[in-house]
Amino acid sequence: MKLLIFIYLLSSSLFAFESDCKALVRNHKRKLIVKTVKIKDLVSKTHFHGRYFKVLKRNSEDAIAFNSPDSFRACTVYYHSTLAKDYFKNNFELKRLQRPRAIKLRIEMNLGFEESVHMMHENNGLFYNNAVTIPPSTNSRIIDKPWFYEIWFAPKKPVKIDSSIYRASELVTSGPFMSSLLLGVGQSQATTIGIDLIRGTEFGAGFYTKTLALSIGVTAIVPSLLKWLSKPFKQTLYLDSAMIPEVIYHEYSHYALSEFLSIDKHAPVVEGVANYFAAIIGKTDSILDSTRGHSKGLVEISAKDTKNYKYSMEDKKYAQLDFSFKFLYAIKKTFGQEVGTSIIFNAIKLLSNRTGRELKSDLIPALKEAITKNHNSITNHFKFNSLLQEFGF
Amino acid sequence: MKLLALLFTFTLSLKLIACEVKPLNSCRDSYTKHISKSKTKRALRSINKDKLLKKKIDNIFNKATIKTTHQEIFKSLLKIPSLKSRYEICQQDTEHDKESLYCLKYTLSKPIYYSYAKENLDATATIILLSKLSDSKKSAFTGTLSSYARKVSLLRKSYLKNQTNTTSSTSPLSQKKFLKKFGRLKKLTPRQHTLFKFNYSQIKHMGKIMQSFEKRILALKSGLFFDYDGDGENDETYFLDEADKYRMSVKLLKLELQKKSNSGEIFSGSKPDFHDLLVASNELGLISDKDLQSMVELPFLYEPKTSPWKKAGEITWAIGKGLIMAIPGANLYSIIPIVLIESYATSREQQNETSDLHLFTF
Repeated sequence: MKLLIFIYLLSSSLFAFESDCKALVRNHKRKLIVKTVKIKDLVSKTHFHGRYFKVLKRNSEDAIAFNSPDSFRACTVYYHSTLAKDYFKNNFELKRLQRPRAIKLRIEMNLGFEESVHMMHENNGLFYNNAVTIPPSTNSRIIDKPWFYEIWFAPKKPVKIDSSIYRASELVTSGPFMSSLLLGVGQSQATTIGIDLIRGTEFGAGFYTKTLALSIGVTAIVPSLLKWLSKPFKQTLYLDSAMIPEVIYHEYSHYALSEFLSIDKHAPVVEGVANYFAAIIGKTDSILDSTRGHSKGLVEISAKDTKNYKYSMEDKKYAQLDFSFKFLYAIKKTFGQEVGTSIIFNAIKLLSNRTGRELKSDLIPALKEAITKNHNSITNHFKFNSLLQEFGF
Repeated sequence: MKLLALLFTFTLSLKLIACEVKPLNSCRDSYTKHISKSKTKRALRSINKDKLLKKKIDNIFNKATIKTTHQEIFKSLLKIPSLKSRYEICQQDTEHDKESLYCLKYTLSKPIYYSYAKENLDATATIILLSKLSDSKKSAFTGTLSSYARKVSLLRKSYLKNQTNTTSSTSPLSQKKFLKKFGRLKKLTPRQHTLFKFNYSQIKHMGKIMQSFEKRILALKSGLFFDYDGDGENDETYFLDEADKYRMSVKLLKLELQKKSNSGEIFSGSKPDFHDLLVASNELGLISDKDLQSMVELPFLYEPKTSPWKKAGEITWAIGKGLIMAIPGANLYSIIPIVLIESYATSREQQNETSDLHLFTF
């Protein structure tokens, strides 16, 4: 058996090919440009099939050919996944990466995932503007063929949502905001009457009643009118997940760290960690920035400012929001990339012993323990505590 | 240009290496607002010309010990013939009475500035000597020269015991950006502030307080216990999270300092602040210079502060809003922007208001 493994490893390293293809990459100004890149570790000379990755279209099991119309998208996915793999392999000891096993990268994948059947039937609906890391098959599988980890990149499809003007006017016409406005109108009217009385230039009760009614009417009607007028104007939303490097890094991070952070737990901590490593691999402090033509209407996840912790941030609904990313990135800024990333990685390892995935009750104790075990100094503890106060924990 | 920069760096590094610890120079002071640079340069230039005078002044300061008082230094300086005659001429010429410090200041400030430039005195010792020549009100806050020298000597012994790095470097709390006031003395560095305000025993006690504060911060678990029936066994333990543990430690520290200064115990009325604790721990060698350097830069180390700009902005907004609302006609048009701005500010405040989740607040 050992001999077989040795022969396999020897042959796979001897027969690994390289090839050139066109991919979407970021230039020094962080703009997405088309560039010819070298892809490595290929086991096929004609297809995107390598030792670590096999790029497939939708539910097909055949790798995409270099001369296929999808080769640009396939090359982008293969190239950036390799970058992410190299980062994790060079920096951390991960069981998952020690024994190479190709994971399937499915582009244009609009089918849904279900753990008993792998891919759902089209009748269950089609999926767009998303990317997802698929866990390997378990005992709940009811189909014959088992599957390993896969990353599915859904195609982009413009979706119409309410415009920002409509959402703003909806907020203005909501109860508390409107009552503040009307109270303000009443106060200003009272001030005017008061000043007129002092000056002796009052106009009589009828005049003031009419003015007040007019002011209240205008204040109440204008935002509602704006809301009504802006209703037909829709905002477009889409995401071409296979063409954005940070999305590819994000999904690969889920796979690389899955021995510690199970990917089926869609928690803010899990998403924040994947965003953190995506930003580190992409050498950026924001996700989804400068993605014109490949994403629209989605909020950029940025580490530029801080936010205060609220208990609602533990909710799975907000897993994709930026709080946990901001907090983890602030650790990197405070401790420096090497120490900060080491603290985060060691904390993730410690998290694998815990069942919970909450920011406050799981991640923070794990970070504290990681600092104590690997970077124990009073300055580091003060730095960490200063960060906790800054983020309102 | 590069050569000049290299030469400057070389001179600077030579200067840093050259600082030799002496009874009146701790080599820990770097900045002071109280010593005029031009006067120091003039004194150095002028005394360097007179080799005999220079030698005699150097001799006096080199012989100084931790027991030397300022009176002894002044007396020795006035024995130098050229300084003595200058002092006597001043006394004859001026209308000031003989008890006045004017002539003493006129005669001795130059040798003091010179000795500061020659690094026979550090900035704090220089401030003490200059204060003894001028203002008795200021002088009351500086303490005596010998007490400063004794304090520095004891602190250095403790520093060398606790720190492996024995090279004397400037205290991170001797910088311009943390200036503070002590009585009549303004713009003191935190190190000067602590050394003027507290004696050695008090500084040592502050070090102990800081050590227990540190232990609490480093603790892996902390909490509150409840003994329902008083049998000495904990019936319920509430574990504190890391952020609450930190806030509780800060609160305990504050209470401890308040208690010790109010009760007439060791601090008797002069409550130390967080900078004093940091200076004390650093001077005693409990916190290294490197650690202190990164600690003093941290926001929220002690408690969040509202910036003066923010306060000024709040006042301007309140006045401006009042004025606009008082102008008939204009007030009606200003309601929507005012309500929008205030709603935004309130929502931001509410977003930042998390104290309801905290068991302890600063």
